[in-house]
Amino acid sequence: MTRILIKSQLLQFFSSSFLDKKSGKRKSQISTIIINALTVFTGIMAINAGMLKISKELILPLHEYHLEWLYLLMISFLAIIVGTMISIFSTQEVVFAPKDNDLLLALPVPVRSIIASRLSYIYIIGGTISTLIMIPGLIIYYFNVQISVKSIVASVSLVVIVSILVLMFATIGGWACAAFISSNSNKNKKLTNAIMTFGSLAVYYYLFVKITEIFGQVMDNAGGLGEKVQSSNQLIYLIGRAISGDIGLLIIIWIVVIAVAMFLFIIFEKKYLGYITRQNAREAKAFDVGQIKAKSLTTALLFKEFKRYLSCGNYILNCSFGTVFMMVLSVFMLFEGNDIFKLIELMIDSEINYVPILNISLICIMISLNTITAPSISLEGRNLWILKSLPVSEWTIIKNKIKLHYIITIVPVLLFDVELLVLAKLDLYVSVMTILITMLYPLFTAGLGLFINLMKPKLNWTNESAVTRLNMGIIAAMVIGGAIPVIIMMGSIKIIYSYQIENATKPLMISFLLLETFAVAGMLVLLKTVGVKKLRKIY
Amino acid sequence: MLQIERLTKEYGGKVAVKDLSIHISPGELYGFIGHNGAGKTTTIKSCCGIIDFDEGEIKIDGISVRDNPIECKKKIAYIPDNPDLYEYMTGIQFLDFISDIFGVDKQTRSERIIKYADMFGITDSLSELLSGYSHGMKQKLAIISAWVHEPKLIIMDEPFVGLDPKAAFTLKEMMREHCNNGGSIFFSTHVLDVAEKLCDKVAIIIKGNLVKCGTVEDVKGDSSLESVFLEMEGSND
Repeated sequence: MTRILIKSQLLQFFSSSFLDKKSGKRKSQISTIIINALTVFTGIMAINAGMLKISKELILPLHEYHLEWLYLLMISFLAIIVGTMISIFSTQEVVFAPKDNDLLLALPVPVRSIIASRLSYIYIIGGTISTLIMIPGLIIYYFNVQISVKSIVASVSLVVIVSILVLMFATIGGWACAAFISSNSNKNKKLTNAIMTFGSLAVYYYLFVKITEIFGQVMDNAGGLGEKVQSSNQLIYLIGRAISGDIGLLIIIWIVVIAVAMFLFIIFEKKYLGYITRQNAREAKAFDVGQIKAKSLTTALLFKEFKRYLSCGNYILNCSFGTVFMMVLSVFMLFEGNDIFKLIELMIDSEINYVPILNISLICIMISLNTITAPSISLEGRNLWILKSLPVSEWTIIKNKIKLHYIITIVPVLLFDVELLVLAKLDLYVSVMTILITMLYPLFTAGLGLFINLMKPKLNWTNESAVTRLNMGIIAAMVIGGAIPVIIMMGSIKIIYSYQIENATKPLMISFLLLETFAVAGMLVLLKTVGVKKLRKIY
Repeated sequence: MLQIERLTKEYGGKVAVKDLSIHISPGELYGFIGHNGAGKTTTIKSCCGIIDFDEGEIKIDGISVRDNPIECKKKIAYIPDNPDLYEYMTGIQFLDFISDIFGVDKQTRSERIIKYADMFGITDSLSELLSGYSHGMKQKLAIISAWVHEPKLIIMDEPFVGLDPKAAFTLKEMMREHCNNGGSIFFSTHVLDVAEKLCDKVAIIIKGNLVKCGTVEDVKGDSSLESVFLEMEGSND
């Protein structure tokens, strides 16, 4: 029974990669291989590139003092934090609020089988992330230590143990979030969900900054720190030894991890049924005529899009990276902005002012991290009949999806723009051009994401996370949207540097603006023609 | 009000509806009868502009659904067989959304919402999220959302499924009243007894082909609608 449920849960996870949406049949082998290879490659490249750099910097001072065990602990810690943070909201939605709970509860299926199938989904998400972080760390590790059978056994064990710990923490975290959101004292569950999502994003970036700080301190005081940990924190040292290849200690760790995991599973099994059945209870809330509110057609459609966006934690979490990045960076720049610009000026050491080009590129890269439109057609799911039966043109539907993306993106863009312009002390022309260029770019990325989704919508999902997790469409929108400013920035710097053009910034900026205007116009025309036709045919 | 002329729709080479023609006049309550997979939902969705069709023509109040879908949709309301509504909205937010799209002013919508919500007994639940609604409650809300903008033509796919007996009775009253006021209704149903008692005209579709249509009296003759339907089903097997 458990195997059947796990298979069905995993089929849901992989269905977009292996099955053709229309026919429901297996995709041709070549297309399957290409799609999967691209997905895996993009994911691995994105995470590994950063991790290889961190690992290389981290291991050098630790290797010098023979503290490789501390290096492994730190890499594992990072993997657990990132894996857990990314899986928490999936846990909340997949484990605690899936659409097919009622169906499964009505079947003669043991609760532990339902839980096992749900957790298998979380294990794949969290385990994939943690493993992708661990592998580059371990590659760097083996460049610096001698390879032995014991160390390999310990490393493989470490990867598996970390993935289990991620599952455990994600389950506890997701449970806590779900319990808080659905508690009786919580009057506005959807708003709480949205605030918690944004809050967790802020915590996520704070932790990332904090971890970088801790890693920096460790690198600066490696020798002293190693001795201190060895002498005062015996437990950490023993764990470090175990994961470095002390098989005896490793077996003890395995026993402890399995015991804790089983203990948690038993508690979870006892509480789960009570929790998900209690959740179905409806709150009694009085209705009065004052709640009836008239809006214009456009406002009504935009209101609907906002309600959709704020109702899904995973949607906010996976598709609003740019907004959060810009907000966090805005706060950071308020305190550290002057020093950063002084540092940039020193680093560039040139007569030519690259700062405006860097500013624009940086903001456009962050804009591309917002992919709100990328799953928005898929998110209509079984509700698509409503929009299709209403007297609303496909173009109006498309425009409102773009509007939502634009509003969520433009507010932090303008804040960030103003802050950068003040800090970088740019002249009026450059300031106006920066604002215009960065205000136009979200229109392009919004259109791009929507167009990708219109080409490959997935409407037959049972859980929103199936379309809001980092899938091919979202990654493609992010990568293409991010690659364009990078290419433009590199090209511009190359032109300015090669030809030593001192006053090239201004003509380059007007060229960007013109190019961007054409790109945005082209994207909108594409959506108004091909996109509208495609939306008309989707059902 | 609704003219379906020689409608044909295929799904990957498999014919769902073939050469189907139906005419519905203002004030008519028209029942559409057929077994599961006969082509009822395909016909209904084609009329509402939800799916495209291969051949034929559909006109609502003289306007082609294919050429001017928006104008057609302004005149109709559609209720699907499975009311999947926006679960992230409350009942009143959903009704407001539909009223906003059709431009129903606040005063009028308030009166209609209160009237119909009271009739179906869901007024108290209007401020709750739709995710907490039962199937029947969602069905009632979908019905109210159709009536709130008083369309000329209401198209319903199995509207009685999931409704309690009182709500089913209320709906039948509402349907009759709508047609008496000059509106038209085209609905599919499995409940032949309801079709026989409620409808002015019926059409029977079997395996995508319209086999009989006309007034209830013409179709059933001296027999019952059930007998006629079963007989036709048998002869088509």
